[in-house]
Amino acid sequence: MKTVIIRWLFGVLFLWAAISKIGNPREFLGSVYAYELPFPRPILQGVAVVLPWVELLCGLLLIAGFWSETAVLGVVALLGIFVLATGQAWARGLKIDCGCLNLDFLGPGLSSSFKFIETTAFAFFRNIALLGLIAWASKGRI
Amino acid sequence: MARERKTTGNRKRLAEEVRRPSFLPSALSPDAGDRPACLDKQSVGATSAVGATSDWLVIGRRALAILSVATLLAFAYNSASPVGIRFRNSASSPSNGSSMGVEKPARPSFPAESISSASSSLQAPPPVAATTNAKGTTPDTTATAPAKPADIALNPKPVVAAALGTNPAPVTWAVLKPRLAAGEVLLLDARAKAPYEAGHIPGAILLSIFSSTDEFAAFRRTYPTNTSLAVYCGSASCPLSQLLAERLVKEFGYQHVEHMTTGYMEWQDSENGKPEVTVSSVAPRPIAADTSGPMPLPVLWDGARGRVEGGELTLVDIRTAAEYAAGHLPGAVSLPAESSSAAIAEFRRNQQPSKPILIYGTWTGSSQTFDYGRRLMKEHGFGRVECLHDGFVDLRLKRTAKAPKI
Repeated sequence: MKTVIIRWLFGVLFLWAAISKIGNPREFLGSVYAYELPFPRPILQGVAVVLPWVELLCGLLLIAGFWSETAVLGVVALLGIFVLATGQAWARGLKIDCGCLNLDFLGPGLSSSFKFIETTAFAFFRNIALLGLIAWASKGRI
Repeated sequence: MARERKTTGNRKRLAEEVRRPSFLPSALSPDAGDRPACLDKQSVGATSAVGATSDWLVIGRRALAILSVATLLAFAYNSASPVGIRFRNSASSPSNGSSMGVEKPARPSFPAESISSASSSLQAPPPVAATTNAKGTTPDTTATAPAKPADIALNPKPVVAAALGTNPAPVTWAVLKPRLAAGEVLLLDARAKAPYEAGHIPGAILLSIFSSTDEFAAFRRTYPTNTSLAVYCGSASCPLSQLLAERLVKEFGYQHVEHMTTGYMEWQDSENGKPEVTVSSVAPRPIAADTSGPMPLPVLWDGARGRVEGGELTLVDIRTAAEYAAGHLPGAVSLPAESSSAAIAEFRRNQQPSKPILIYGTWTGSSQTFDYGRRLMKEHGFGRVECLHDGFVDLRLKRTAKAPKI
């Protein structure tokens, strides 16, 4: 039961994250550029195109409970990348939105009061916490 | 409860045994939920290293499958989407991804005081036919004829930005493109001269905070304040367009200024386009002593080097004391960004009041450096602060004769 709840939690979270990004690849590419990562442009563009779809598939698989170990592995890999990216941005003091989750559905008033969710520092600690949750839930397995 | 779940699980697995297509190897059969795949085909007692390895093999294969499916779907969707990313041949890219193009070998030339055009009025950009395209071909996606500025000056149209009450207002290329084609807006390139000449959005004219007072005055004479303007620079991390937009609004009273936030990069990604290459009519000048308001002046190393070596500027390293100790630009003094107010005040007392300071940080184009410069002026009363666009990391890697010896 515990694993089902956690699977669903991650599934919904990743679906949300994916849907936030898939709608407008160019906007997401802007978020990727804002991290000022030392990679060539084509790589960053490729990441901006593919990453939301990996999130989408992982989220769907987790919710469906199908290939869930692989999906969990994907989630761990993605979270690892996010921790590194947001961590370096935070450490460098870049004042950027993390581009992780879209809050627009909350409406303009509410989404601005939840703006802290989009800061790199918050995203950094949230991702670490999520990794910890996975480690705790999958103890002894995978 | 537990037994119930177990039987459900068994039934499910049984159903899957039936559903599994015969061409799939048994290891790839979809396992229900969280059971390690190895348990499906091996007895529980025989969980060995072999089982674990094949388990990971299965997971790896599935991960590869997920990644390929994601990639296929992603690129299919991206090419179909109207807001998809257009990949270009990056080798022919005129701007190598740096936010202002400063890493390009051609340094932004600031011809010392030899500005012939400074007194002349700002000329209109050359007509499209006269400009050369990077490859001499008609750009397919950018076939929008840039508006003649004269038309814009004659038919200024109010824009949405003004209705929203924000000025300068952020705008995206997708919104700007049709308006540009319709001649409703004049596009300004806020970067330095060299990246502008290497390639810019067709129809854009050069006007940056590096432009002289005369050039701004000429611009103001040519275009009335109800002209719709849109400003862009290298990328989202480049401060130049925002600065120019604010200056056009505050100092010159332009009523409709928009700020294409992601700049030239967005245009390149959207249009797969050939930039317009041209020799500008507006020549930038050396950084003049005309700071307006409490804003630090962004400068490039190539432009500031002479004054640093001539002792006209105090070079200030804002990285941590440890980083400073490990290596710094020659002649730089240390004032870490995390310094206490007392330490900053102490530093200022020892500083010649008339001498401007030039601050630099670790990374090129970092907003941290700029913000710190702003704070030094606003909160600590430094008269004139300039901030180096180039970061220490990039300056150290520079292999040109002009590079500082570190």
